[in-house]
Amino acid sequence: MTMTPDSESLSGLLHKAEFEPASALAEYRKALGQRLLGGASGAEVMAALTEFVDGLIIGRYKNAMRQAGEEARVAGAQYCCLVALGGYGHRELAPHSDIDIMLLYREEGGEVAQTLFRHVLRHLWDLGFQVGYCMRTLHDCFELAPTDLSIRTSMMSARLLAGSPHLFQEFHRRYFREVVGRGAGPFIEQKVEERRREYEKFGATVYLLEPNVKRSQGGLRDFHLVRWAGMARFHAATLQDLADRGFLSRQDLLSLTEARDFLWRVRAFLHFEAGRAQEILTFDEQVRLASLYGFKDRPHLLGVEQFMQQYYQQTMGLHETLVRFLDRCRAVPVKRRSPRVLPAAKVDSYFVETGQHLTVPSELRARVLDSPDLLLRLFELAGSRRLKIDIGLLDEIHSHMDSMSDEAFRTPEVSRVFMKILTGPGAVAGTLEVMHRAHLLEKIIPVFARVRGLMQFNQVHKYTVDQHTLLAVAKAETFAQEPGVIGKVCQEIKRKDLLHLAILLHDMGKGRKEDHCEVGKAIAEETAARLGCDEQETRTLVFLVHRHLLMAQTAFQRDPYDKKVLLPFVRAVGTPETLRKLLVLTAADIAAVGPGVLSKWKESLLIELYLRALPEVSGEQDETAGPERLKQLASEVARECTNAAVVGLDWIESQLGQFPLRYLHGTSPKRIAAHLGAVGRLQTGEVLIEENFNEELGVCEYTVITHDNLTPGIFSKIAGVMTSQGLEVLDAQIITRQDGVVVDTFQVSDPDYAGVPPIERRASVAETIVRVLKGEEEVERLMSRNTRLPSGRRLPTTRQATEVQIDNETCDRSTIIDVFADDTQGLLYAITRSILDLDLSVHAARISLRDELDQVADVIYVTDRHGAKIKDHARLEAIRTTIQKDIDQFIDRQVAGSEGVSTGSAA
Amino acid sequence: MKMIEAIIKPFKLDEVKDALLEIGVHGMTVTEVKGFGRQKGSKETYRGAEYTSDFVPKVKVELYVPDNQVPKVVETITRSAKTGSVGDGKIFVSDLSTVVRIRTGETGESAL
Repeated sequence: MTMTPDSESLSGLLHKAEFEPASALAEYRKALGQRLLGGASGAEVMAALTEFVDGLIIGRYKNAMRQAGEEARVAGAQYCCLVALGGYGHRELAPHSDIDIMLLYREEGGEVAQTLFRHVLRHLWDLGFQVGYCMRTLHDCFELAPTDLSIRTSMMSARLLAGSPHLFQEFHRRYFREVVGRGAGPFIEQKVEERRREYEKFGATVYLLEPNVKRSQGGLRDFHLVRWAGMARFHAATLQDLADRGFLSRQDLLSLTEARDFLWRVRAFLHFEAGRAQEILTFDEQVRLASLYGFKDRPHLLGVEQFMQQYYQQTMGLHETLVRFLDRCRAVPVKRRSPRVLPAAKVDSYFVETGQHLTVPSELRARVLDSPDLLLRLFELAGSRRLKIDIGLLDEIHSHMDSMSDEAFRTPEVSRVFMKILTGPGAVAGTLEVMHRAHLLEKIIPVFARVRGLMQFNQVHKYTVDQHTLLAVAKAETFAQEPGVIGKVCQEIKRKDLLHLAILLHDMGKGRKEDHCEVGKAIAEETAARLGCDEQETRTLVFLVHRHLLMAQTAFQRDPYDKKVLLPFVRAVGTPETLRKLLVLTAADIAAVGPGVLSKWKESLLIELYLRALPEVSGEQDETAGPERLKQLASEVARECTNAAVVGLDWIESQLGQFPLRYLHGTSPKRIAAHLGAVGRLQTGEVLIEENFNEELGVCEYTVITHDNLTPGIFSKIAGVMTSQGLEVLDAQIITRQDGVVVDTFQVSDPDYAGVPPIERRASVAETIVRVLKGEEEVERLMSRNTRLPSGRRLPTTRQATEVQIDNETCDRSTIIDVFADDTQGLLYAITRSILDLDLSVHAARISLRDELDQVADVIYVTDRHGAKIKDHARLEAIRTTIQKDIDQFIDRQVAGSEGVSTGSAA
Repeated sequence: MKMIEAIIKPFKLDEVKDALLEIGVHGMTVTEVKGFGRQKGSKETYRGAEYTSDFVPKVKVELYVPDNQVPKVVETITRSAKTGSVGDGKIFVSDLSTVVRIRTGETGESAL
């Protein structure tokens, strides 16, 4: 590789530069741009430009000496010298970089120095360069350098351009004797602090979507910092020198130089394109460079995403090397101290704790490195004791991981300890991040290797997938420390490990052609199996990963006050614990998109949905109560029982155990006692009715207790009786116990009576129900005899579309039918009749859930005649359309009826 | 020229936006806001402790239109933002004295 393949044209251009410097420079830059496109490296371009600019400056300096006469020539050669500093001093002049130069002079040449320097500067300005310049005597230099950080740093790369070599040598010797290594420790700390502030300003992560190639984390400045620290601490002029002396591992040297060359070239492209010192790798530039570098779009991964993945790999490598190297620079004085000063405590016979660090003694390292169990234990200990793992040990783990298969990490002990790491408290995200950096996390969750540095090419996300994921875990951890609803919810979560695992996996499906939620679902299943999760844990994990967008979508795009929205959401979520996890996952996911993305506004929408859904999930699930709750409830019920002593507490408890939780939660002990009394008295073929008036709600409650094999369509028949008697069903709870006992409760209002309906009326309703269920009376006959014009409730003026939805996911045993329709008298009968005609049997139902829109939301759990869930798709669709058609017909007739057009008997 | 400000329910934004684009509105400004009207803030009980959100999250849509478009725009927002329940929001229409397009310096209706 020749540095200047066209050195002839260079000298030609230099000659031209004497007369037309501006156009010569432009032409030269253009030629360099072509060379870059032709495949030249960034270093080549920078070296060539440096050479060209050197030529310009030296030529102008000599010219100025000639023109200023004899005295100036002597002064210019003996008392002054022109020195390149900073990046220019390193011959690393990017196409539009600033030029830092210093005129060094002795007192004797002061005046002439000024004239000469002015000549050179004016020339550079005319050419459009940004110039950083200063005039100093040796005295100035050594007064300033020790105290001024940037002067001290820029002088490290001082290079003589023109003038007195003696003067420059003197400067150079003194600088290296008096400045460079002095107070290296504080110097490095100051530079690190300076860099840290820069990170804050330009992005405290490598994984910015529009990074600054110089200043962002992992940018060229990280490389510079290695160079500065290496020079201050080890007096090493080059990286090679550092490597030769063992301060940089071969691998680190490689990743440093690779990343540096990569960034240099990218930066050169950016400068040429913008025509100025553009350091930000914008989206537009990413797309342009990706195609220049030959990345092609693949179906699921754009060329630009592949290019940026490479960018992040390079910059991450650079940044990690910097971190390791800085640790090494700092470690030197510690090593010089006597080891006895630091208390070393043995932990677990393999690990040693020294100060803030955790390490493994060298004689045990090989064993620990080869044992997945011990490696996990190491990270778990570091996390729980808030210790940093020794940097050298991490290096070894990192390089050792390549030779280990992820199968080796499939042990119960690894799973156990990994779940412990995920549980916390504290340092969960921190530990995971270190594991990720050491390439160990991907041994347990192999998909992590694929998302390393995977960018998401859109305007919303600020971080790459892996970074976003780890940040989301960290956010979830911080929520727990915060006041407010999300903080409290976080504290109430019992299984933090499952939450953190779900967050860790939620976006792992990204970067494939399929929907990332679906891919994530498969990954969650696989991970759960790998970690040995039981069925319930697996279900929770898979749900959280698969539906991680559900809550955000529902809260931001749907109306939480609409039952049509709330009910499916509630049922999908299922339990309060899952709801809590989903809330925290959602908030953490949004917060980890970028700073300020989770606004208080968004938070309040999420909380609103959470608070709406919480009471519903607490009652919806078809679970039985835990043994303790049952005992407590049994004693409460016993107090209300007249014959508690006879039946005994055990009987009551065993009876209660057969009811779903929603019944036990929603029914007063007094009513439960009455129902149980009836259950106890119930004979085969009998129907018993427990009725009472609920003062608080102002409604009558009829509870029908019988056996489910008495007659088909019990629910429908009761609903028919209610309608025929002019009662409005406000709420119905249908329970069929495993032993076949039916306990159906209807809350009804009786528009014929203001206040409490008289005893006779209630008795007559009860008697009618009994007669109908026993087959002594037909519903149809009753209906036609007693049909009356709809009274009381007026039909809403605007009709909402009737909607019937089928949910076959939520319940294992039954198919769930959701019906949303205008609230019309007799509607319940129409629905249940339709279901009965479809040859389905109702196992449970929740009616009511009226909202402000005069709409009814009915939830009905059905099976076929033989008690099996309906699985056939055609059948399901037929059920849906039939019910919808029946309801619409029914409502149409009611509307016609209420408008005074008689259509004869209903039903 | 008029300025139209509409305070609507957040989940209605997409519907309102699509409906407005359909009738030929060129642009709008959308802000996430919080506030309350007659609906007042909502009170929810959370673990026994009352969780009060005095201010309800809403979206504010602002648009600036020639006089003759006002009825159509107002009608469209009313239709598309309506759920029928409390808290559907309000629309405010006020006079707009001048508009300047920064890029060209155009003023008046041609700058809208």
